[in-house]
Amino acid sequence: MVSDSVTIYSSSNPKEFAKKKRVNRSAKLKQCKLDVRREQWLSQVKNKVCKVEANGQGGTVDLGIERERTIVKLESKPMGEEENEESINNYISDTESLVNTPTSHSSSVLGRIGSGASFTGSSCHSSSSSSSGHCCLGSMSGEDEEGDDECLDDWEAIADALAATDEKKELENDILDSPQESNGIASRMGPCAEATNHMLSGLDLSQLQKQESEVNVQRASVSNCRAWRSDDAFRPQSLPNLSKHFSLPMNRDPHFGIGDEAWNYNTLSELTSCPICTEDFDVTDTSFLPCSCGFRLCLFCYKRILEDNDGRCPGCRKQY
Amino acid sequence: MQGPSETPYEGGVFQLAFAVPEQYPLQPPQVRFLTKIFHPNVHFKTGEICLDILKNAWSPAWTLQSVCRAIIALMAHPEPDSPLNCDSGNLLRSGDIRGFQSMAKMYTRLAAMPKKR
Repeated sequence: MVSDSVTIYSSSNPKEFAKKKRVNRSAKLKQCKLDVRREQWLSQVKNKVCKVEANGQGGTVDLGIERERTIVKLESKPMGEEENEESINNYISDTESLVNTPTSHSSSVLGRIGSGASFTGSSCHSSSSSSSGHCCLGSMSGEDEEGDDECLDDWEAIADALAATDEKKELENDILDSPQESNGIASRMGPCAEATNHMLSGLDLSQLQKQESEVNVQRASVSNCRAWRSDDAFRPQSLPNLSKHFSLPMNRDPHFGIGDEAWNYNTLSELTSCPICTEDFDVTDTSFLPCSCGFRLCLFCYKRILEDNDGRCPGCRKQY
Repeated sequence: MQGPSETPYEGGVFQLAFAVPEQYPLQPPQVRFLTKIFHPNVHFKTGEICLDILKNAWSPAWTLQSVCRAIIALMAHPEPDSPLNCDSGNLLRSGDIRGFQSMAKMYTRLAAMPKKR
């Protein structure tokens, strides 16, 4: 189910996938933010599961590891992330079936345990589907890169979708209390609801924050999970370090694009433009290190120095 | 540009002319003094500066600001072995540091200080 939705997303967005090469770096930044968002979701699920039964711990720990792997894979190989995600999702759905199969058997015998276990199963569903939503975001980030305006135009439609999502969430919560048939429905609800949310998070995180807080109110078992303080025990390890965290304006800044730029400027100021021609580095230039002294310049200037000048590094005067 | 302290140029304000070529920063800017200055590496009449980084040691990593710094450093530490101003160079090379300093101070007063009288 989950992998199906992934396939749909990846096949319906081949163009975005091609674009992603170009916007790889900024997509990475967004990926980081989205990982944080996902962590938040997962911690909510974790809280829930811990309350229901210790049984749930195993599932979430597995997912935690899986999540780590996802993140690592994403960062090491951002180009092929859709394939990675897909395979990971397949893996997750395998573990799901592992969790779910004994559940359906045991719950027919023991209704009480069944409800707990089915909860675990559905939490698996929601988190795995969150990675599917994440995957679709991988392609989304390419899309909203060149057109923030587009996203704003679509905002009304998205708001409608969100309302629908909230209803679904409510429905899901109700369903979770009944043991048996919840798995099927939750697995159907989970991916689309989460995917919608994650698409939105790509479009406007602060708006999502608002919506999410509504969802949080609905989820009575979860206390205030809006954001982490630096001393919060539930703050996930994969969050960026403190200074980075503070410079991430996503929770406060209503304009996603502007905040993103500001973040870029703060952390990578000396790397964003060529010191010779002051043009902004593109993706190729960013990974271009012509000299061992670490002096960086764009490919155009490098070529000009090689052809028209003495061909020595501007930083250390060594021959290239 | 203000003359660096603890030099004969202290208190003086020196005007410089920067000519930035089209190929800058691959080519060095051409800098010369507009204000008269008595310095072994500055031509007394044209204001031309003899500074390696403005000629063959130029690097595109340099900026106009770093050039200004280099010129200030040159004012504080004259290099009499490659003189454009022979009189000044000769004074320094013959060891007459006092003579050089008084000459340089005099020209700073004459050319680089706002006239009060």
